[in-house]
Amino acid sequence: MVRMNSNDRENIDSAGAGDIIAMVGIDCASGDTFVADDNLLNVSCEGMHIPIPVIELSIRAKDKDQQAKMSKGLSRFRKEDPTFHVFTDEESGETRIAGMGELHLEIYVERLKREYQADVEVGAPQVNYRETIREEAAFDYTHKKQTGGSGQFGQVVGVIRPLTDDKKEREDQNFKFNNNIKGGSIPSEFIGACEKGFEDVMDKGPLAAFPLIDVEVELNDGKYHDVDSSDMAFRIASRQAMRQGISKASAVILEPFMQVQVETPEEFQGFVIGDLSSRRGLIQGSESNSGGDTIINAQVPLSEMFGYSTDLRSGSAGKASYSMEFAEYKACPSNIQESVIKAREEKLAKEE
Amino acid sequence: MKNLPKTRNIGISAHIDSGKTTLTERILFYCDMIHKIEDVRGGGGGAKMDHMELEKEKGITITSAATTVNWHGYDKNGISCTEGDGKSIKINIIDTPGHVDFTVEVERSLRVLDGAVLVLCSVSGVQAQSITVDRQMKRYSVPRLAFLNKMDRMGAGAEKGAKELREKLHHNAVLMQIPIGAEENFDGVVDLITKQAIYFDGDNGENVRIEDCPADLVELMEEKRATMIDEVAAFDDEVMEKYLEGEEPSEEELHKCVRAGVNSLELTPVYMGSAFKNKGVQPLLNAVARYLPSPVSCEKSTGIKATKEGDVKIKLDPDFEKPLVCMAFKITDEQFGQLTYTRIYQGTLNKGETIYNTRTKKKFVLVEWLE
Repeated sequence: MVRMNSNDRENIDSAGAGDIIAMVGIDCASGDTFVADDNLLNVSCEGMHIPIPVIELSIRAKDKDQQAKMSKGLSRFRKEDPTFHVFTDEESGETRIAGMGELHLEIYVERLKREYQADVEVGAPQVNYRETIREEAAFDYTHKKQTGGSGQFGQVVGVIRPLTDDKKEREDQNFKFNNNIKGGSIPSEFIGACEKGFEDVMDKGPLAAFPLIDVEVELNDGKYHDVDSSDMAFRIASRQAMRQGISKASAVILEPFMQVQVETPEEFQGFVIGDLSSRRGLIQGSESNSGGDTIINAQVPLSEMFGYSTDLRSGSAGKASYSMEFAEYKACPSNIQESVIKAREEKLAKEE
Repeated sequence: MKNLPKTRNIGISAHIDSGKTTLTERILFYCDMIHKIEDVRGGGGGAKMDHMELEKEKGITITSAATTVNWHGYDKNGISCTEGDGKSIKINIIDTPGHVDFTVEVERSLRVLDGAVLVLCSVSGVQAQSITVDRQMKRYSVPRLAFLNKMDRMGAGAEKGAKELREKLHHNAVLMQIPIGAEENFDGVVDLITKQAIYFDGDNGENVRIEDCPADLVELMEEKRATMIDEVAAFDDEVMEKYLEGEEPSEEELHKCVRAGVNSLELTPVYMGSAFKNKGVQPLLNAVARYLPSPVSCEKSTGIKATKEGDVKIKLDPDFEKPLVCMAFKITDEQFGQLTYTRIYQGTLNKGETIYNTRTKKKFVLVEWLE
């Protein structure tokens, strides 16, 4: 174990409560808790808020050799940064990386090239859409298969509804499961399988197979069979029930909105506001700072912000600057929703 | 090591380009951790905290680095703090990146820190990123001090900075100093508690010179001092009562009030200076030592215990004798293996000891770093 002084390290023999030090040669993820007494294995420290990624792009190595270097780098970055995601697109098989903004991903791509000498190509950045539900809906589904041998049986009854902020246990909670089963209409050993089944469906929304967020499930009743009920039977029943509920709950597509702040000389104020509006931006206000520049605040969909730095530079003779960060997910207007669904369908069809 | 009340775990967060890496650099210098000051941009070896090649090139901080310093006070004779009186204070500092895309670095620092310095540029004031950082500090209930940097720049203003903190971030921001000279003639500060002028002499501002308040600032100083006392006295009933009866609170009483206000998250004392011009950093360090909480008085250390009846919150006690609980908040993968930045919440961590990861249930033995 060591004490850190920027990039220099000093070995130490012990450190006590309240201190911040670094441990060497330990394999873990950010947020993990360590104890020395194996009776405390059920203790963990309160977690931290990890925002969900809003942007992603595909990344490809030139050949097998480069692929190995790239994988090595990506697995390290993923471990170090919980907002940096690496995954394989199930449909196309390509490697995709996701994160908090264009610069965020750009830095990692640059680091792959410099620190790992990995020759990689990246695709155009894409917005991470999400889906959610707008209304409450009931479900009642029985999964039954009794054709010789051991059968399968499970019935689940309940309600799904939008998960509002005040009901979240954590700020970044996207799925909440409430078990209201009393009197054993579903035996308690199957409740875990039910929860898993409901949560399975969160991966793919009904409109365009984007992940679902902010759904609350309430399991109120059900039936089981002494012989034919199993974890698998209840998990399948819950999946189907969830799909049934969602189809009646007015699903919508959500897109990430960014908080954008532009600083510009007054003469370009008209251009900046007009341009932001044409990007479906909601202008929240403007003010002037002590240097005589105007500061404009707006919320703009991320999908409209690609290439913004170039447009802003050319429209303001290079004098305006901007910063942006993720603000929140908001429902797409219906025309945008349609085009997002259509683009997604085409993409999925092409990959098949 | 067995001196918890004399430890501070702080973060320095702010928006991009407000100069927090420069500020951290000066803190390292005044605490004798480095012997030469280097700047973020331009030649030289680059600032100490920005060690990654890419950071040096772009002049921004991407990953946060941790550093431990010892602050001995202005004249190395020690500093009096309301908590942990003594010759020196150990400060663990986490430098955090300003760019929003690296916001998780800020999140994880704030998660494990007990207090923070919110750095603002005294020219551009509260910017979008300051609002984000402020929201993050509120999420983790981090007590904070504000530092108005770049007081030597054109258009800099202390009043304006405090006003923006009040209006845009809704802080109860109170000036604890007033500037001596403005913009390029910015020369030092007057401490509103002691009424003394503080100047920073020597090549790197390392020699703190204390003088009487300049005659032309006395009136302003008294006015601002009265405003400050009005605000801070409210945090201690006894002091408030005395003050209302016309008795002037002592320096110690004022420190006590400010400390109570900061720790209740209802007061943000405002300091000022120019890190680049080596002015105003040492009084800020004194304020960190005096007002920000030590791990003992910090209320944030909660753990979660999984039981059959569901999760229960438990209080973690910063007691060396109790069983160890610590949390990995940042990981870097180095050439020689993984380096895991860890905050210890309870007990003691010893070399050679076996520890368990409570998520994976894996066992590890703590080893030495071999170069």
